[in-house]
Amino acid sequence: MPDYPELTRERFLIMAEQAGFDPADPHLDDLIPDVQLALGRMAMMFAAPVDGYEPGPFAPGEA
Amino acid sequence: MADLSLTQLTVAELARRIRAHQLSPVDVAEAFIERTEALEPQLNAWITVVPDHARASAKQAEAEIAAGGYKGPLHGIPVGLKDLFWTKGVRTTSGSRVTADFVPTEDATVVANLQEAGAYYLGKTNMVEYAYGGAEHNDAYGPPKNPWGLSHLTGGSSSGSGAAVAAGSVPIALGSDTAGSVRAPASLNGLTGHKPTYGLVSRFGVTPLSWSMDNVGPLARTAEDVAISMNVLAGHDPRDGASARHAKEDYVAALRDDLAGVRIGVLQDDYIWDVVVPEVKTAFDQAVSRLTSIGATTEALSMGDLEQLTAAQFTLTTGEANAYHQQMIRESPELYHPVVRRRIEAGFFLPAAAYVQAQRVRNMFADRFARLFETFDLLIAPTTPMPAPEFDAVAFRLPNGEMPSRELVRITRIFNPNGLPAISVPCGFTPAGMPIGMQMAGKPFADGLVIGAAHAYQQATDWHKRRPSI
Repeated sequence: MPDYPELTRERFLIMAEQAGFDPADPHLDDLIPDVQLALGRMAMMFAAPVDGYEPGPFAPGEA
Repeated sequence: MADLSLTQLTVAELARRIRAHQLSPVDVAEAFIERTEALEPQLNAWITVVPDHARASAKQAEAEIAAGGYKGPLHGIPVGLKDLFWTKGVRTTSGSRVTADFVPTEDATVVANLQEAGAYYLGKTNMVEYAYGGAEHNDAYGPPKNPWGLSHLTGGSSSGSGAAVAAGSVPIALGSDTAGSVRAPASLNGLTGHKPTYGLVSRFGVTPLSWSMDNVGPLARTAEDVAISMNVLAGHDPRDGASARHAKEDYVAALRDDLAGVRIGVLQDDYIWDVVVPEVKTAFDQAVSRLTSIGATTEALSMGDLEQLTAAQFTLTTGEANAYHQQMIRESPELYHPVVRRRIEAGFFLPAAAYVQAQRVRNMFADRFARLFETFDLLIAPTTPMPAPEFDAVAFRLPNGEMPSRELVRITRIFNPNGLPAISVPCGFTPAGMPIGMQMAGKPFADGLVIGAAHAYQQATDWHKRRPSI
């Protein structure tokens, strides 16, 4: 997996508060691994050689 | 006492007898109702069963057919509906406590289409909550059991649809597939399951997981039954914004007995084979040999970078699911299964750029697939890396160290971001008697070839004819 800034607990709590969570909510301890996983996948995507590709969704349209 | 042998027949077999007036739709309904009532305490395949609706519909079908109004091979056939398809007047829970009391005021388009063709639903099948997962994340209704081994998972998210068809509770059921939720339970339950080309089958009235990748597809015993249902399910729907304007096809007419001239690419990526257990590899290798024996040419190939494609698939799902659930999960987070809740909440932390990048990766792979389909007609791989795990196999790890329940849709999900049609067919059994599946994928709108190839394989094998002893 490509390098990506580590999601520290402190950084996670700041992001959680910005997202509307109560930073004191013990549920956040359960959530942090899922967020780390999601951000790790994001980093993997940003390593893809996508030069020349625009962000259009797949749309079959007429066929 | 109903004739329970009817519950072991395919849709095609039932239809031939019904059309010939050798079999009453009412007797068909009674057989499946009795089978369902007998098995349900063990299987937990259903969230809601509506036997009175089924009996009334069967009686109506019988009268219509007696009057000369036979509508086609689904006339008088009971179906199961994953409990995220809207059914007018019948609750649609999406497998969740959050929407446990939701009663739609209209039918999903696919439900209306099935009823127009003379089919009727026996009930709403169990599922992973909001279709978000390949295992049994469902506190509210409990997990379905696998008819081939009650201590085993059915796979998901169309878990109840898989269990219900495999057990003979209905001959066919609908599921939805965003990462493999039709194909994985088809594989783990010894069934044939088809994910159509994105946009080919309406999603109107189907609770979304990820709008840009959700597909409605059938789980049945045979490719022939899949074709019969696709003839009714496929078609443009103006109420679905992603619905394709694709010319109507006859998928039954596309069924074929051999694969002469069909070029098959056999995916060899480490992303796939690093997780596949030996008994699945053995069955898959034998299936490849069988495909060549009926006329196909096969060639090994690697897609490359499948981790990036599946990372895009995850990101799209995370973002879209979060958008759909934003209000509900802020208001009632405690009502969600903890795993599903965390997957949805992770979307709060993704920047917009991640979603945009996922779309770019998706388009990059659209080009790669398009180039591959200049050389190959079909791409094949195992459907799931392993047969159905046991519920308590928490200590078991796949060759790459991952838990099986996390990886059930690892291979299937590679065909979702680009909307490719893909089917899973049974291709063997473990020594312990658990089914193994193989998937075949084609280019967009090659559903006829995909289903036809599955039928050709099933003319040369009998894995799909096996039934669990339950």
